[in-house]
Amino acid sequence: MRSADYVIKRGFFALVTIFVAITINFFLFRILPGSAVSDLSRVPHASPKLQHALTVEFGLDKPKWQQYLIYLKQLFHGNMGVSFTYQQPVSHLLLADLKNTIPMVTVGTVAAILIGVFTGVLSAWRRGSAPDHVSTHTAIFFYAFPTQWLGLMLLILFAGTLPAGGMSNPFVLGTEPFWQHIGDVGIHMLLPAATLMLTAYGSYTLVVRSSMLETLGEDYVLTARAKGLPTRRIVWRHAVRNALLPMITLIALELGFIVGGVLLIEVIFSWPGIGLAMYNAIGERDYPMLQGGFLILAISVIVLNFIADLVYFRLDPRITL
Amino acid sequence: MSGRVPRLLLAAVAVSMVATACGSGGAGGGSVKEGGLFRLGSASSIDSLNPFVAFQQDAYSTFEQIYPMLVQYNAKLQFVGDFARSWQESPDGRTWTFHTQPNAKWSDGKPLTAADAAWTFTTILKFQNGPTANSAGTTAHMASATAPNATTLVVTYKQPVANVLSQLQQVPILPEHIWAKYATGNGKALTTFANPAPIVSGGPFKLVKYTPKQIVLFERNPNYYGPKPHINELGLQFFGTYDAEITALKSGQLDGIETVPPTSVGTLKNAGFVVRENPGNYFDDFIINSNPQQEASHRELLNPLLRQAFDYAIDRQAIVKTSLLGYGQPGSSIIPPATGHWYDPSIRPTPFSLTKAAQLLDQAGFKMGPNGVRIANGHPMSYTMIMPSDTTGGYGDRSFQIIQTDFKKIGVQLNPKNLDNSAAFDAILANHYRNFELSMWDWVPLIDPDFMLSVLTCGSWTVWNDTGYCSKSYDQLYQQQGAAMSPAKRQQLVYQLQRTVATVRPYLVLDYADLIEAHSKSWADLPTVGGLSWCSLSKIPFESVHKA
Repeated sequence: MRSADYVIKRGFFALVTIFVAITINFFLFRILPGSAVSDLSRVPHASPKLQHALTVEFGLDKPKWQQYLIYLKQLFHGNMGVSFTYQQPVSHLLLADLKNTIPMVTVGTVAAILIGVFTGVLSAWRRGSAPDHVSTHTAIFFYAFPTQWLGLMLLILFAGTLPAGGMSNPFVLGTEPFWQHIGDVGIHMLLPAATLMLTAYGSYTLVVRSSMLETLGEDYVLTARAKGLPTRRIVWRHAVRNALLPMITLIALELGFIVGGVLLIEVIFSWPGIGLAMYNAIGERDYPMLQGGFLILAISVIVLNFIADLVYFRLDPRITL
Repeated sequence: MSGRVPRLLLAAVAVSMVATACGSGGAGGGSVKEGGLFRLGSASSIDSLNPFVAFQQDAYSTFEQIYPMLVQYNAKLQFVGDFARSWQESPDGRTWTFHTQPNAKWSDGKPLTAADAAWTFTTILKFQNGPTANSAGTTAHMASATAPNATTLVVTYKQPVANVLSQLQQVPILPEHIWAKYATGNGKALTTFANPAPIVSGGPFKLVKYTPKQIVLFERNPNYYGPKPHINELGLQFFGTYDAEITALKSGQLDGIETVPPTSVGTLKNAGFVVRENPGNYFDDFIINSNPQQEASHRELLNPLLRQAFDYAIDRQAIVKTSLLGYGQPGSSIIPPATGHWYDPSIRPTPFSLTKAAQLLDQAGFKMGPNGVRIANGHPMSYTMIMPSDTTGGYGDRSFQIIQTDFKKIGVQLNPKNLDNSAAFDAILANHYRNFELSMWDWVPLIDPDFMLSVLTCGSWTVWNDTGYCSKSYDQLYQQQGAAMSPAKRQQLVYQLQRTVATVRPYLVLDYADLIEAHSKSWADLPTVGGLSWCSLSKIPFESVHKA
């Protein structure tokens, strides 16, 4: 009963937050100066007629509240609208972008988590030692790097060794064998995923180290030591499992930003994902694309936080409503 | 270098209009190596493969490769045949008859005839206020287009139009048998049709693969009516940044790139690439609000002495040397020298003289204030300069700093306001051009001067006009040049318009930047048209290129 109440209450909050996000998404971009019509109507000898035609076509001639209702109605029917720029359904465009973004970000994020946890545990375990200093300072060093700068440095450093852009060798006519294609995508993914990993792992290292230090001072760890358990077992079997609780929130937040948080990496490495799509859509004032992209971002963050809440609730009996 | 926002789209179609040094088609005779894939990099992209939807430059350059156009440009900025082999104009200038290629075929084997051209123009006319509005400018004043037989196209106009060929050069002729089913009802389907690959093509190449934001791949079209390209395939890969594009070229992942920033020229030359710097049909400008109804708080900007003073206070040589690293020329007229005979050579760059500028401001009665800023009409001469993202980050920032420093010396303070392109254009248009003071931007005009001159007409307000300038006498002259069927007479009128602009100074033309592109030495005979080989002006460059 307690579980059901918790899930229902958290679920309700999540739904309300999504609705608020949908509303903010709609009005936020319309507050921005500039418009898609003034962008798209700039062709030689364009006339006010063209501007009017585009305004009507995009539905921008209607009052804002009416546009908002249409937008809500479309959303409830699963329709994100049609891109002003591409004249194609936003859901199709964003789905294709998401398919490109998710593998690269997943590889980068998982690598960051694994390295972050390992180096964090190592630092805490060897607190005050040379490995601790090296690990902590390296983590802070990469964490402090601007993503775009690190990406550019890697691009220059690996010029000629790794592909400079795109997500596969584009100049292939016909269909590549599956595994050859996977290998090709993998090589193209190395630099963007490495950039993401390097800029993200530092935060995991620092959180895990801090949490581990706290855990290693707990009574049960002392008891385990007193019982003569091997240090390795105390650390990995007992301390780490408890120390990783804060990581759940951090990972949920990071995963939530997968869809939009890699914008700069996608721009630098010409990775045709949702970050690059958002970047272009902002410049073009492509409202439907922006609304769709930010809606996915908002829902991802909210849903993953909801899941994190549930996992926390399951793992930590101290959590109450 | 990106075209300014109001010209972003222009850049799309516009680069297509820049025409110059082009080879004469086919690869220079003799034996050349046949075959191969030419891999080209672009820092732009294609927004759509549907000509009624697309606005981006690469989309228009793609249409040039896959679709017939009636005419194209040659090296001397003359029109030469493409799908039209010859043409005649009626004595009253209202009827144009084009004789098209006989026995031509689309890539799917269906006949390619004058009827396809007539259908394309008729469709644009039919839906010009809606689905085909983005192409309607190319059929301005057109009354009808008919095909009395398979090789004859007759286009009639409501009035004489001076730049018919320039207009028609921009229109890709579409296969009626593919597109006709979308041109029914309200024509809305004309814009929702994605025109996916493989595309039925009629140009030297057929488009066989398109992955949005990644690649477009072409194969030689065996049914092409013109000189067959030497290469088998052509690919265009899109990059998010110039750095990635240049890295890809240097590491052998590309054979050429379409635009090289001046800062990378030395690197590429040292690495052994062929780097070509061509005079560009392009200019950077300093905009002064020219709306007579602008806010009283800065109405002194209309004072001719102030405008002249500002002109003298701009060190164009320093801008070319520092901002363009020497790859360009000081600017003068809004019709660049790269347009050939349309440029009025009597309009010279205003010499840099702060002394003269200060004298002019004194003469206007703008006395120096206590803090080194002059006072005009009771307020300090401190102005906000709108800097669109097109001009910031490199060239624009450096140029602005040069201008700002010199203006400070004459008692005028400039305050930059960085905005993205769309927001910048809105800021200029705000309150019917009453609010903004100064701005900096750039233009990529067409080869034919009509469009660039039209920007300053009253009719262009809120569409292209970014100065607030509006003059009945200018508009009349503009109309006259548009209907002048004698080239000499038209040139005279075009010169007159340029001189008007140079005198009134809604724009202070800063420089003409070179267009720079690079390719590997493994390739030869890749001529440029208007400074570019990959463009929408001509099919000749990629018919001609071959392995060295």
